[in-house]
Amino acid sequence: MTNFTHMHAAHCESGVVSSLITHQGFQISEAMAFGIGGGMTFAYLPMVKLDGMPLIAYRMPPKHIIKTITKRLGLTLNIKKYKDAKSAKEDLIAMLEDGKLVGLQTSVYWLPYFPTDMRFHFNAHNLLAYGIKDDKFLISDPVFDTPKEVGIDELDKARFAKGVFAPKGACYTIEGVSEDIDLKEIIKKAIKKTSGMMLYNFMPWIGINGMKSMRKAILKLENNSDKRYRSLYLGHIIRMQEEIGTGGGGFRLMYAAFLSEAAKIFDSNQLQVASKMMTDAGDAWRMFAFATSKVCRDKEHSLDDVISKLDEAIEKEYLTYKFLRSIKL
Amino acid sequence: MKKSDLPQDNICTFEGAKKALYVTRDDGSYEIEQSSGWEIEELATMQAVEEFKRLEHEAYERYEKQERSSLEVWMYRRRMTLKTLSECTGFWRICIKRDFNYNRFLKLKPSRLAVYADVFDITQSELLKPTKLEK
Repeated sequence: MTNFTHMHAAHCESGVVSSLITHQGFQISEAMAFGIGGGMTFAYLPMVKLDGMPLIAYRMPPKHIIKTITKRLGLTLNIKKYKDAKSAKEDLIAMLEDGKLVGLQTSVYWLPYFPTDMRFHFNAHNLLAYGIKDDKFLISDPVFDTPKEVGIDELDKARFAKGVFAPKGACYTIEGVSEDIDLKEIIKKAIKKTSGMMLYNFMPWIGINGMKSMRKAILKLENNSDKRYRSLYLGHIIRMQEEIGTGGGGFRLMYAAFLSEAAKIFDSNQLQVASKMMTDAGDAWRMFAFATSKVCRDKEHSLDDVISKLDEAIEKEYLTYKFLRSIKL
Repeated sequence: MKKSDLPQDNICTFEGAKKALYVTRDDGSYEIEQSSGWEIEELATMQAVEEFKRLEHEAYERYEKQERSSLEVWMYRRRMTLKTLSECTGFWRICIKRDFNYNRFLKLKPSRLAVYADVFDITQSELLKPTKLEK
């Protein structure tokens, strides 16, 4: 493919989606894709375990963004899954030779170019294949700064990893950008949906309620005599936020960028203010990670600072959604 | 986060790769900027990596003493827990636990060994005789 430029993004799914849609001729930034795709959330799910630790997510589950955005923008999403690696590979080669840009679902652990220390069993990492050269796939992985080349046989293991979210060779393309997209209406709907979920979801694990549940779980650690567990637990929270959550409350910062873009489209000062508030919330999450890391290092350190930083982050995010809902667009 | 606040700690876990983050310009608008990592992230990632190494180490000691099978060593070497291994193989956890038995594992059916070997991406002989772990 000749006219493809690799884009460095903060998050794999929003990055892939933004590239796919832009390639179809409808210019859309990663932050906008994340916002419209309704990627923002908070979920603390103690009943779902990752390596024995509760699942803490700062964004919606895999495929949510891509499904939501294609629905909201009225695009066609073609997802294909396969039974065996051979037909998946042949099909991918055929699609690439057709000049298509193809999104792939892969396992982080088996991607040959991933740094060794960052390989864990996460099966829903998205990347783009944009061509073939000398028996190598040309790969654009949005979370890396440069494009990669991977041997034709080296993707099999990553595309057919087993377990939770098993990709089953899933690949997808997006087609059919319509002429008249009412972006304003879509943005309005997306903001309403996201803020509503964060504030009013009845389940205690989602949104602001989820943050409060996590706060309770941290408070319980105070009485836990197993200091190694405490340290691992807090380290896990940081990892979910920093490594998997794009860093420094990264999703909050990305959502703030979305709000700022929306402010320009609506020419709304209030949205700009909301964007600033969301940045502050993201920074507060960053301070929370910083405070938490101190406790991780020093096992005798008190948890007071962690809790107060978390309270601050929760408060700031809460006020942002409240404010967002009060804006008349 | 302002551009000037963006951490550039050159962390080892990235192996030179860069991460994209959204930072604010002075006028409040956003741009994407590359970071060589934040030491807080490095700490958290390394903690998880070290934990698996520690578990692998302990498992290897048990394997050398013939208390447990090499399956446990490979499980931790591939950064899996019993839960992950069960999900990847499709075997029940209780059955995998039985395969942790040293003698039982040596007598395992080749077809079952093949499933494990495939999940770990190794040969069957490697599965039965893991190399000593590097420090």
